[in-house]
Amino acid sequence: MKVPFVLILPGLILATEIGYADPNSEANLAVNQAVAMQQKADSVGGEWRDTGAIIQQAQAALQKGDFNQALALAQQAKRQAELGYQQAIQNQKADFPAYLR
Amino acid sequence: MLKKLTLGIGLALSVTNIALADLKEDIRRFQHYFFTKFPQVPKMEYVNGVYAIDPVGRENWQAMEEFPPYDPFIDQGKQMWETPFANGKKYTDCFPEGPAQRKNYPHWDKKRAMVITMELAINECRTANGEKPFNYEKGPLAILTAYMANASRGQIIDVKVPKNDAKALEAYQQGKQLWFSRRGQLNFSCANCHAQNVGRLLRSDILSPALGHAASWPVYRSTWGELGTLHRRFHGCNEQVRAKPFELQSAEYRNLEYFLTAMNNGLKFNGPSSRK
Repeated sequence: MKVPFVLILPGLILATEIGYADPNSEANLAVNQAVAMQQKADSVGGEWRDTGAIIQQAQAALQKGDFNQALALAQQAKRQAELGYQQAIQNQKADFPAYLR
Repeated sequence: MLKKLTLGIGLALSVTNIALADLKEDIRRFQHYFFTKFPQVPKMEYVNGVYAIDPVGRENWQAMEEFPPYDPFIDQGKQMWETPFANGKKYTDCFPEGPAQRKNYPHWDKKRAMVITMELAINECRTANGEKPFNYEKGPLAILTAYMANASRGQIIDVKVPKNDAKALEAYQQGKQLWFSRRGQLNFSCANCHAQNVGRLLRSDILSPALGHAASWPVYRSTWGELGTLHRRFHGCNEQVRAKPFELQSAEYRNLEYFLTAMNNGLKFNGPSSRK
């Protein structure tokens, strides 16, 4: 059965729109989000040791045009910063634990 | 009006009493934990760090103490202490009591509403006299404090948290909170290593008791191959648990020193010292 081209065309356009994201802007966004989260973690004293270095690596990868690497590193840094923030908040009332009572 | 005032004073007094009771109770709990954990260790031995609880390490350390690696620095520090600044003044103009200053630090400065450490006071003395401040990690500051600590040996640790100063209590609480906070990717607090797991092995090292930790600075660590300050150690510990360290002599570390030294109240200062 022949499907008329006019019927296939909208489907093709839609599929391209959904599946395609500019890797440059995606990586850029991820790096910016990682930096913002790092600052949030630092504001409560919860930043981890390597988060800043990972962000620097992500920025270097971005400059080299290695967007996949930049994205992966930025996501790793963001996750670290999220966990560091949560950790600091959870420990805001840290006090003598049960074993020291 | 009078009723309100009386109520207010009453509340303030009760807050102060709670605070005082807490400090005493904190010290009791803290020290009692180690006394129970290591009943064979005399209280005053804790100033020797891990060598109070590690007999094998102690033998090596005692052999090293026959010719202590920090000894030459005491003489150098004395020279520094006696050398006038470019303006002709000396350290004694800032510290009229002389070099035996350990017993006075850390202390709460009510006017400035902050904890003052000996290292901070030294650098403030220098800048007030037109000299450049020292690096807080090692080098000349550690050398000068080696001399001052040596002159202070035997002084009793007696950190005070003023009764009537909410900010002092807050600084103490912040120091306490930091000491008990899990930090970094490894999710360790100071307490996890130096209280909960004290005496256990971390790789090839026995974890030292926190009781005594504030007594022996500066320390010549074989790992460093030089003298270093207490805040350098704080910084290093934070890095080891993969937390971003704070600045040396930051409010965070000064408050931490305030709490930790208070927990050591009753012990004697015995710096400088040597460690593995």
